[in-house]
Amino acid sequence: MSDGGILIFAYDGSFEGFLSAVFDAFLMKALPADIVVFGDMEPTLLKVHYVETDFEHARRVQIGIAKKLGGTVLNMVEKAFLFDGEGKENAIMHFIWKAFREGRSTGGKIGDEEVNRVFKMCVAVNNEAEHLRQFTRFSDSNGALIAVIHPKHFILPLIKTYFCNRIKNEHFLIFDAEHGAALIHTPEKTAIVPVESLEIPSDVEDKFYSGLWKSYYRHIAIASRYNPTCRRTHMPKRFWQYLPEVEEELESGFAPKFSKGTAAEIADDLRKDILRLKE
Amino acid sequence: MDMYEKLAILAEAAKYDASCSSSGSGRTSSEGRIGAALPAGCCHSFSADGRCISLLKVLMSNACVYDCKYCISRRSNDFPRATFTPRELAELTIEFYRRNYIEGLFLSSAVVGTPDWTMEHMIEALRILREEYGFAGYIHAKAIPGADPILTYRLGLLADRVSANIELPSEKSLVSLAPDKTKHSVLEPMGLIKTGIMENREDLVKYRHTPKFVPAGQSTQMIVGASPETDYHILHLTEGLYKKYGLKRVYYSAYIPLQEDALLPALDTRPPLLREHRLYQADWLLRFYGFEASEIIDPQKPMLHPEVDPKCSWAVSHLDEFPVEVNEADYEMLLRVPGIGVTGAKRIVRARRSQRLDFDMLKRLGIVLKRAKYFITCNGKTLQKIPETPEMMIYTLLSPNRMGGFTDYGMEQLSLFEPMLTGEDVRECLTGEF
Repeated sequence: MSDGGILIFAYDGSFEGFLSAVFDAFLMKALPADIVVFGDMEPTLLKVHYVETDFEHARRVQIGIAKKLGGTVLNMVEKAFLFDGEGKENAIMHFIWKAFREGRSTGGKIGDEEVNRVFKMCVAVNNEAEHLRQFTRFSDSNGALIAVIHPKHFILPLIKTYFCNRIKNEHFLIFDAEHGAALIHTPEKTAIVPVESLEIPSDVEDKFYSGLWKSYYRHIAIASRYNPTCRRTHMPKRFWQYLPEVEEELESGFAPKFSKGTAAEIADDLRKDILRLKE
Repeated sequence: MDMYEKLAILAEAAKYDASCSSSGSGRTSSEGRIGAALPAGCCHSFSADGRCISLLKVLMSNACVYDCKYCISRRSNDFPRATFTPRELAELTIEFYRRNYIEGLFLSSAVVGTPDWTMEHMIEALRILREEYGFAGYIHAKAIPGADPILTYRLGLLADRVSANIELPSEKSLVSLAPDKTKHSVLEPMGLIKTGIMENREDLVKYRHTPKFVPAGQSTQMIVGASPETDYHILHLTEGLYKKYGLKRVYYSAYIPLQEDALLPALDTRPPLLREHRLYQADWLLRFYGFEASEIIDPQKPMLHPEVDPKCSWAVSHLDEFPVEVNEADYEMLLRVPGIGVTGAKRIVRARRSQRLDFDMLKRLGIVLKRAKYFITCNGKTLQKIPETPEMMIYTLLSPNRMGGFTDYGMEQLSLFEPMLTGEDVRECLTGEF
């Protein structure tokens, strides 16, 4: 045991740093009361242990989890670490601690309070990743594709394969403005790199195709089935900032105008819309 | 005519097709130069009516020679007409795709000139996409009734999913509302595709490099509310289509009156959205929950209950099968508990492998007990006894604001039921159709 008193861990915020913290905790045979990132630390009277990020320690913890606790637990640890929210490290630390005590089956005990906290974090991360696969939109700037996103959690590693598979021959960049990182891809290589800020070239307007897309979006809706509640459930408002198709609606706050009524009236509206587009 | 004009017209004409799913096909990017497909599909947007936009859904052309009474593109309508060239359409698909607007293309068409000419035009667009652009994303194409079987086969080699709309739930309605189509012309492509898929499966086992034929299976669609068929009729037809033709999906499309006709519902009829919703719920029970059509509906009460979803209806009339013990019941039985869906049942099965569950744990798993509590026990404990009669049960299960419409079964009282479309509609795209 450590020499008593409440102990707090501070680490550098990286995954390796966190695994080093796990290593230290096992070495000290004591769970810290909290784990914080250096930069976010508030002045405290409690005893602080500064975790040194040690890649060898991190590797040993990772292998230990994989061998002793299995893929499910390791997967949950890795995924939950992408969660962005208070108490993340502490929850994962307790989970790992419990798993070493109770064995492989811990990953399945998702009804248990401690395991459930980590399970819910994983679900939240997965959901956010799915939303960004759905709602990330690229603009074409001289042949390169650029997108800016503000995800709740650090999901770039989870959406990497999806985008690299689809548009492998393109040059593209997805900038996570929330976490200061970017996924950069060229046909030769892919990397996730820290990026402080990004100047979007002013020629990124991409009007022709985003215009066609907006027009498509308006014409594909059926007026007599108008259902804004349903739309917002599936496409939460916080993603609208990326979506050209709802740009005008977001700015004006008004629902779009629909072609409504009989076939003749719809035809009439369509003709008017085409005239408007020609101007 | 420019692209803006064509796209507006051909999207407007395509939107009454219900399907927009991009699931059922897994393809890695190594099979092409651009694009991949996820087995679970992906919804990239939701239109103002709350429907998923996964694919670029357009017609090749809306210059139709047919005169189906319910259809906006019918020959006798005074409507703007347009036709894409195959190359225009392929280019538009690629440009939308690389911006992550869409998962792929859903191509249908009015019959231009002859069914054969129409199909050849569509095939050319798909050929350019697959061969010239190396597009490996999702393609759903509609088989045109009456076209040469060889063309249907070629279409199937290029598309992930092919569908042939049966349009109306009975031959009688088809004859009166779609005079240019026959039951034979509608069912023929369906049979061809089924045979094609089965032969392809054998070939894939025998020869390694056999091209895939309709890997995501086939689907169909029927219009609900334009003709007098009951839910009983529709659900048994649906079950038959799943069993006999091996369909992946049957879509229902609530009839939206667009023109005056003595044979059609009046223009001011509201689309039967609630009925459509209940049919989809029943359809889900057939496909994912192991139900038979005869369990869901009987000929004495040939319409689904408007107030209670079909699974709840079934449970209420089978109270003797409940409560079930959450720690013991098999997966299939868990799925039959009102309030427990596929996600919930899977979580329960996963969690109980390593420990016995109590009610607190169930809540943590995200199981909503509001309705489930009447039907389950946890370690032998109940939260709420089952009311004595089915009538009392229904009364308990309905939330107070729903009771307002209980005396009147009018299908139009939609305002009482919001949100109308549940997570299931999304799940169509998110969890896929296996």
